[in-house]
Amino acid sequence: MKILDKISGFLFPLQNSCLLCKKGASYGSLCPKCRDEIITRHDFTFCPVCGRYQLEVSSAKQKHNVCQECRETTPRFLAAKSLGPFRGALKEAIYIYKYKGHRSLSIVFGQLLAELLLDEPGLADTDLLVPVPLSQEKAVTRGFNQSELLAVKIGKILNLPVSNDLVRVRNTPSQSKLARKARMDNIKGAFALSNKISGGNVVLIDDILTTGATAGECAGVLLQAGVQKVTVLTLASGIQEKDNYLF
Amino acid sequence: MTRPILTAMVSYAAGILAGQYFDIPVIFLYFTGALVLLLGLYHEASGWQKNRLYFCLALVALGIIMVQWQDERNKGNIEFLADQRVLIIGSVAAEPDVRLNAANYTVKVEELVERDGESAVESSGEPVRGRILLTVAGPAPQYSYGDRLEISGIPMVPKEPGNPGEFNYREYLKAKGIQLIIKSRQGAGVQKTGTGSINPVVDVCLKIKVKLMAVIDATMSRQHAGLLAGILFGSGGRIDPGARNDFALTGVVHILSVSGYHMGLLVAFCVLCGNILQLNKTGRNILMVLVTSFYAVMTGASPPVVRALVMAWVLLLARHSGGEYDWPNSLSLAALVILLYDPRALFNPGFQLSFTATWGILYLAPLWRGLPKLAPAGLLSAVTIVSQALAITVSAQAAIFPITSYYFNYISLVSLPANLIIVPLISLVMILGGFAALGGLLWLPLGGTVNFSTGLILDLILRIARFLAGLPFAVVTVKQPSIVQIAAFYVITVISIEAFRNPEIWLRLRRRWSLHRTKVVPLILAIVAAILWTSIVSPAGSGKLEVTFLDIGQGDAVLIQSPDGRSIIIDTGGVQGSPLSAYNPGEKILVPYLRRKGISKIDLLVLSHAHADHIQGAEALVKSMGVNMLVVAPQFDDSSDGSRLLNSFTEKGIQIKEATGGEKVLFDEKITLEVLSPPGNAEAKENDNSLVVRLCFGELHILFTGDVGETVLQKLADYPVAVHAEIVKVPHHGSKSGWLERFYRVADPEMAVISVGPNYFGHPSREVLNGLSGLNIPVFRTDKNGAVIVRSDGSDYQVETVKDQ
Repeated sequence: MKILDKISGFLFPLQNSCLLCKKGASYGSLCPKCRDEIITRHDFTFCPVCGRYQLEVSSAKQKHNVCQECRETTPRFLAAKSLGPFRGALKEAIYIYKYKGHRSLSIVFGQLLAELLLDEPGLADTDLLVPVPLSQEKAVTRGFNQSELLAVKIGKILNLPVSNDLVRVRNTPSQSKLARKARMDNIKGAFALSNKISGGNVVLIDDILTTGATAGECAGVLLQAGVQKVTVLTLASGIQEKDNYLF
Repeated sequence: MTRPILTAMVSYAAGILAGQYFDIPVIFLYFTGALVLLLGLYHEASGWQKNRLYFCLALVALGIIMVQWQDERNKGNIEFLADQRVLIIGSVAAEPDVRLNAANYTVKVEELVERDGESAVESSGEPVRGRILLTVAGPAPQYSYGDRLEISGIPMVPKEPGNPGEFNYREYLKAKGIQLIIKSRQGAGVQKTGTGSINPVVDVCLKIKVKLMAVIDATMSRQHAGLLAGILFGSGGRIDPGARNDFALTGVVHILSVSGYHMGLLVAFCVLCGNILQLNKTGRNILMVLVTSFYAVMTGASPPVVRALVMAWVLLLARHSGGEYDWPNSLSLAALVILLYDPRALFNPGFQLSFTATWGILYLAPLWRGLPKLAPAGLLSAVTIVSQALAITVSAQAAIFPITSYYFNYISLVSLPANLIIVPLISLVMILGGFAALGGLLWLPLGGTVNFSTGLILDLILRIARFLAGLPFAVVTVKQPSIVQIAAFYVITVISIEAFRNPEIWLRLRRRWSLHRTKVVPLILAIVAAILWTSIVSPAGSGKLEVTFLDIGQGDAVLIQSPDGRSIIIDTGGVQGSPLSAYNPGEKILVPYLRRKGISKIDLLVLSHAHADHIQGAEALVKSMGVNMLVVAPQFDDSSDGSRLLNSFTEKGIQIKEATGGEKVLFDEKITLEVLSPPGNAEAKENDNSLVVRLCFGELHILFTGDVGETVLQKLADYPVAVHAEIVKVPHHGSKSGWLERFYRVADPEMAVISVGPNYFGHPSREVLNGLSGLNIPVFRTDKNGAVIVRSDGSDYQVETVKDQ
């Protein structure tokens, strides 16, 4: 039956199976169903400034209101957008992408982010994509910068230049286990520009925006170098506790 | 690459095209072979990806070789027997093609017994090799596959196309390995002497088919039996031509060819049998393979059948091995199998239609999948079924539309309702008819009972097809598209669909749009405006006058197209002496030619005189397209044929103008028809009453002389200015009754055209041919040159012929 197997190998080519649901996929590494699944923002509202999500409350008033944190301290970037809240299928996909090293996911993610960029009329005049750099140590252990791969993919699709001039000058302990205030202190002064960036509208690319500390720090560096406006695109944004104020 | 078979098929088909259209010398093939070998060695270590080029090149070369090898296989050495009386022995090499009034047998020649009355046995150095198409017309004994026949007759070389774009019968037969045709009336000269070489499997299959057909014939009317044979076995020879025409006009003629649906029914039948016999999975699969291949042989293993067979087997294999069925692979494999056996099938309309229709159904129909979602929930399942049927019909029609436009020059506007109504009925007929044929083998009355209802449904189908075909605007004529246009259609379709499927291309387009919106909109508007402008301002016209003397057989038919695309026809062809002849060149040659040219309206029809070889086609012309005005001589009405035709034109409301010598018909600013003869009061023989018309276009004059004889030419020669012409259509097909040297000296033409075909009158006469060559007037003959086409801008003219000589 070996010959039969060989023939059927020709006739019935193996298809990439979806990385999430392990069933058939036609384009990229995710099946259309999972692709839709990871960008669902059902039940969530998001802050138009930092892009972070809150569970939707029934009163329509609250929709797309600027969150309390952003009202207290305006972030240095103009706005941040993401595919969806950091949970469920999206969280899993990012985990597979970052930690299991399935770089092929950058294709799907890149397409989705490009679409997100196109959906934003304010980003039509984007001049440059800048990925958030990885610390030296992490770059070695992971083998690739997940944000850079995304930026390259988006740049390819939308015909936008990608700059690698934003670099890390200081290795910092991982942000993920720190609180908001500690994160800000931790990241301060960690970035610099290795080359001059010509002014214009820059889109900063990162995987997750949790508190906005890293993105804010990068935006600060860029603005100081003469960039006019910085917008942030990430795969996912954190979910905020429900605002505990009522007007 | 995930689909090596698709790549292989495309490369191989490219090789076939190259082999067919370029005369590639053998040395080139050796060179390619060596190159491919070197490339292969170079890439030996690397994987499949890098071997792609090597692989493609090898298959292109294989395609070229296979075409050339097929040429070699199909070559015979019997062409030298053409036009001599011979006695040959050969055996029927394929299933006979039985028509309503005739039967065609493909005979493999085995022995040449007599040639020109002399025994040819001892003189033969090399054994004869080749195939002859034996056509037996009228009632005659029928022969079957494997019969050895003794045939006495005069073989002919099949006709080459005489008019542009016409079906090439010689090439068609050549592709089947047939070099000569012998015609026999009622079986005269043909005798069965025994049984020749046969393939036992084919023999058994055909014998069973004969048995099944006998059941059908015994239980149904002649017409229904012929139709059912077409539906069940794809052998449509015995279908009533009127019914076939109705199916063609309503776009459902595909029901007469074997499709995947037949295979599906067979497989279902096998499952049923397998369940009854309690077979296991393997047993059932073997049964399916056996039954389907049996059926394929029975139906002649034509390209559509083999396609359906291969795809059915691949599907079975997928089920068996648990692989994921992938239609592009399966379809490619089917094409590859057919083309490896018969490379020239690529040029077979049946092959092209079958594959493009299947491609359309599998590639285009799924695009409609979202449609039922729009329907209200309560109706969902009904809407799903209808929309699926709709999607399949529309997709198949869209996929084959360039090909049908190319071959048939019309588009059916009723094909959508026709398919939605007729196809389900046909499925029912297939199940009932198939069951009746099988059941009838066991017990004939069973078949008869079932076929009673089959007949009722067939009747309903015929009525529906007739009704739909009779609707006004059931079909629209389309111009024959060029090969480039056809290719562009498919390339653009695939690219745009892939673009919409591939999110990245879509995103890129959106990005461009958002950036350059202000520039893109005016650009698109400008392109649309340009297309509209060109199509409105300069319609079909080529900017030149085009005069085509058609190869219409023994008769006259000329098409004149004005620079702005309007049409004049002078005479319509026909067969002299048999106005009710089954063969009507006007219908078979003139109308199809006009269709290919995209002409659907005749602005002016001129009929020179009321003889069948000039007017028989007029009725077919009026039936299939509009005629604005008819110009005839007053004497046209004198003959019974003429007055009958005039009556039918009057009934149609067509304007009729009677013209006599001295009148002028101003067609437009540039084109004038000057009538030179006959005078209004003249009483003469019918031929001498022919309209003689001079076409004037700038400095070009063409004289159309109908069938006039010497007397009229004498009179015409008295008016040198009026009869002068650069081109003269020689009167009366070159008959010696129409020869007058003085006339040609006066008219002083630069060339002459003789519209003539095979005939027993001796046209064109030696006298005319010698006379013209004596005057140094070059002669173009429609029987030798095919259609003669003259193009002119008013000052200069060019002549083109279809055949060299």
